[in-house]
Amino acid sequence: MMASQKAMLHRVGLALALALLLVMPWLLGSYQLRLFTEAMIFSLYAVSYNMLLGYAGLLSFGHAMFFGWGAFSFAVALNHFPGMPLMGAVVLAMASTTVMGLVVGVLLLRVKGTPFALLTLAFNALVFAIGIKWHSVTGGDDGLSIATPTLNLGFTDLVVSHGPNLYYFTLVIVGAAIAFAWYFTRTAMGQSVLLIRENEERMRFLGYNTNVSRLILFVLSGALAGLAGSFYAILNSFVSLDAVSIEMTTKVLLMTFIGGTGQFLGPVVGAFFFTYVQNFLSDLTDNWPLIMGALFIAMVLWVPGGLAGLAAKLSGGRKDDDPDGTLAGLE
Amino acid sequence: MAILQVIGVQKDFSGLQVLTGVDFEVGEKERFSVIGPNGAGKTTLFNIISGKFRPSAGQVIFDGREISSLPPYTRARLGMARSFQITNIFQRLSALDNILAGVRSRAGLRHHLLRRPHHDRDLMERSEEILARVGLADQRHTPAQELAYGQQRALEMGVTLSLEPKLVLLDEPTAGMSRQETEEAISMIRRVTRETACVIIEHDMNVVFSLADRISVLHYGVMLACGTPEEIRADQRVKDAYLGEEEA
Repeated sequence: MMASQKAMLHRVGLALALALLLVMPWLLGSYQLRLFTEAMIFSLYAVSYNMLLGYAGLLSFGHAMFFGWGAFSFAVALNHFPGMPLMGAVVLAMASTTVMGLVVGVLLLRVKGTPFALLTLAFNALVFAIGIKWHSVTGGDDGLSIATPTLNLGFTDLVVSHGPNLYYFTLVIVGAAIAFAWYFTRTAMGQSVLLIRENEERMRFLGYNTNVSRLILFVLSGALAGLAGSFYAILNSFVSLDAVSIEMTTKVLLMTFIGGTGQFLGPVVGAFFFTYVQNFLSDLTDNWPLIMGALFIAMVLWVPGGLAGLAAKLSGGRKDDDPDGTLAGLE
Repeated sequence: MAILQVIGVQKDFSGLQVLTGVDFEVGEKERFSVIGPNGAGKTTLFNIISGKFRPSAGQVIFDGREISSLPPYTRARLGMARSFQITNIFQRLSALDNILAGVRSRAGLRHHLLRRPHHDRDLMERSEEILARVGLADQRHTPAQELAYGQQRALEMGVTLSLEPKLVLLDEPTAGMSRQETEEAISMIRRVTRETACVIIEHDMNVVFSLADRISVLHYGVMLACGTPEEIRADQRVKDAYLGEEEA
């Protein structure tokens, strides 16, 4: 197929997907729409995680520290500063997650490989401990309830705490963040991350301070996870320690692996798959994590490229010289 | 003026003296070669100049600036580029993207969160130009790992040149090449280093004597002799220590 035809096909596909997303509230009932919104939020969470895992090859066991930090910062901003506008709280949550990512990153990125993975786990536990102990700010075990303020659009105030308005609010902001993450893979910084994974030594001899690259990526990935966290807080009108727990870290790991690390949309596929399957299974049995775990093992053993990798292989869209799918985003 | 000055450089690895005082200067457009038998300390010296190791004592001065404690990426930004003896390129990237990595680094486009190097016409043209200079214009979209060995060596050189350096450090640029490939490599090196200074570490005497303006002979960590190819050829100490062995 000609490259221009392929680009055309991509454009048509993108337009159709956008049109479908725009009419979604007419297609889905309120329960289903909420589930769909949740899957979108987790998509951003998983996409941000894959920036570390899929693009930089950094295995983190602590991504929930960003997600939870964002969620709590958002709730704290609203509860402790009366009159805080909605977008103000969102921006504040992202800023606070950025600072946290910077501090943690400077301490963490001295090490690589297994020590890095273990330290992320330790930091996640540390942030969890702050959440549970600092009762006066985080509410500890009780969590924090949120009265989501209306979104001031200038000419009108929108209630975006639930329903189609929440869906559209999420579509615009979370959608823009995912679009930026995609664009990022083409930028100088995004390409540098890929090249460093390919050959770090050569990059250093070509003038790249690879530690700085990794730190920028780590902070950016954390900030996007923090944004996902604040939308998770809006969706539930509540933040509990669940947002910063090891389970939340495991969740993003499962989503990303099931969806596939080798393609940009892999984590999105994984987030939707996980959200819907979990929803389906938890209706059937309380032991749903058991089934999820078995599924995860099966995927890692037999479908290492994830669902997105499988789809690409079946449609013949990808050459099989990259079985672990680590070249995602290379042009 | 000298672009590179190596002054009293020593290196020991946990007590083992590998370099025991090396001094030399390389002029702005000079091709300078370091030769010596295996274990003479050539590679150690090369790694000290390029920034992989720090010297135990002594100074490395590049372009008037003391650099012996600077990391490799700072040296690269100052205008120093090295090649690797074992081809060290981005295997899964196209030849053009390999070059682009250095070209955009030179332009300061390393960590930008918005600009896309592939959409920058100047950078792309610059990359094409350098790719053509090492004779790989036809292979621009070929992944590096699919190139023939000689072509990979040429790309290795291209990646080094992509920084448009003031000083090029070449570590055994013709290692593992056939006679014909070596001839081609020599003429390419001569062509691409016409306007830059160059330090070549090489085993192959043929290569050294046909490329270098000046040669220094390293022998068990010390400079045995330094001079033009003719002077080195005539030097009795060099003959005894090194060239004699080759001919024997």
